[in-house]
Amino acid sequence: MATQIDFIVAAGVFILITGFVLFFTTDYLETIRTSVKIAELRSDAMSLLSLADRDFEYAPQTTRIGLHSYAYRLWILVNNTQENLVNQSLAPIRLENELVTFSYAQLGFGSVDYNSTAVYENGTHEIARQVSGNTVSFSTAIDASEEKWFLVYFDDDSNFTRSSDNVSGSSNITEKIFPVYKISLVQYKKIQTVESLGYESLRNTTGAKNFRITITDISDSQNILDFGGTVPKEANVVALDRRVIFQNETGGIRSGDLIVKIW
Amino acid sequence: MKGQSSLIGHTIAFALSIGLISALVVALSSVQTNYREFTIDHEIGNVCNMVKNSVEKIYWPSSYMPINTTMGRIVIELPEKIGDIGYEARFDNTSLKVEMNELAINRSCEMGFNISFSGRTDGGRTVIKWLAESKNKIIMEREI
Repeated sequence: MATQIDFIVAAGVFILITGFVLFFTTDYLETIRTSVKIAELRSDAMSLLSLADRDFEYAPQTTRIGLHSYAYRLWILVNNTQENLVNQSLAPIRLENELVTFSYAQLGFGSVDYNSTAVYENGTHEIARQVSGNTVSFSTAIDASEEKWFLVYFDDDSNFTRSSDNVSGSSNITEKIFPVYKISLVQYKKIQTVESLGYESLRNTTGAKNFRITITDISDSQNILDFGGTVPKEANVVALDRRVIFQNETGGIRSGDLIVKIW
Repeated sequence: MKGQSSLIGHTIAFALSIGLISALVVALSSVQTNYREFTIDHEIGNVCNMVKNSVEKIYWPSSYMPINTTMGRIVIELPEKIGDIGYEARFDNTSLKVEMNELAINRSCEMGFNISFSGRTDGGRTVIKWLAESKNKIIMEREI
């Protein structure tokens, strides 16, 4: 009887230890599995995040999503001081509608999407601009001895349909136009392209995992792009984000938050 | 009678032990097989991602580039084996094909660039180069 109890105890201890070993082994392996999956998803997400730095690739179907393009910007200084007045015999006074005009041809740009022109006063708020052929005009009120900076953005390979605003005024000041700089951004035309291609189609042709891409305007939290599959409630999902500069629907340049999610 | 009962007891205990050990071996073997499949699957994915990310690191075409020039070069350390088995990774058109002949596994992943790809490696230190020629070319080879 005592021997049988010994056997039962020994078998119980054996089963218990074996159970623990199996439990911890499988638990360990499961943890490793999750880590490996997440590492792979992170690598895919990093690759997808570069869509803000690259153009679309076609072969001939879309093999890579790319929203990147270049636009241009330049600063214009309007300084209401004596030496900048067109008529040097006058003294500086407050001007209600000082008209500023420049031509893309003068800047050396033959091919520009004129409708993409966006003008910001002091680089902060957008103002009305009149586009007539390759000539752009805008007006501003300016006090005597005051200086104002205007930031102009334009694109050469976009397809904006924004119409020209009506601007009136007269030019009394000689403005300073600074050199044109090329800037990298997420182009509105490419945002439209990615939306038109469709999620399933893009996923198949790019060979990507399930993904969702969102671009949110930082200033007003409005979604500029929200594209992709529905993020599952229970799954390993890797999300990466970065800041981008993007064009909005009127050619305005804004700061955005790009988030890619992959699962 | 007592001696016979003891013998039966020992026999049952022995059979039970063998049974438990067999169950343990089968369970661990199943875990090992399952885990190996998983490891191979994801290791191939990782090899693909390493090569793809490396190409993305070095390949930045622009409008004005010299020709017949190496524009980018990167050395990566790929695993020597996947799931303890040798493998070959080679470019096939615009995708990377990973082959494990021993297991008849053949997987490919798209690089995402419409340029010319060539070369192969069987793991270890691998060089990936971007050559600007009449058509941009990515070359992969095992570092000697």
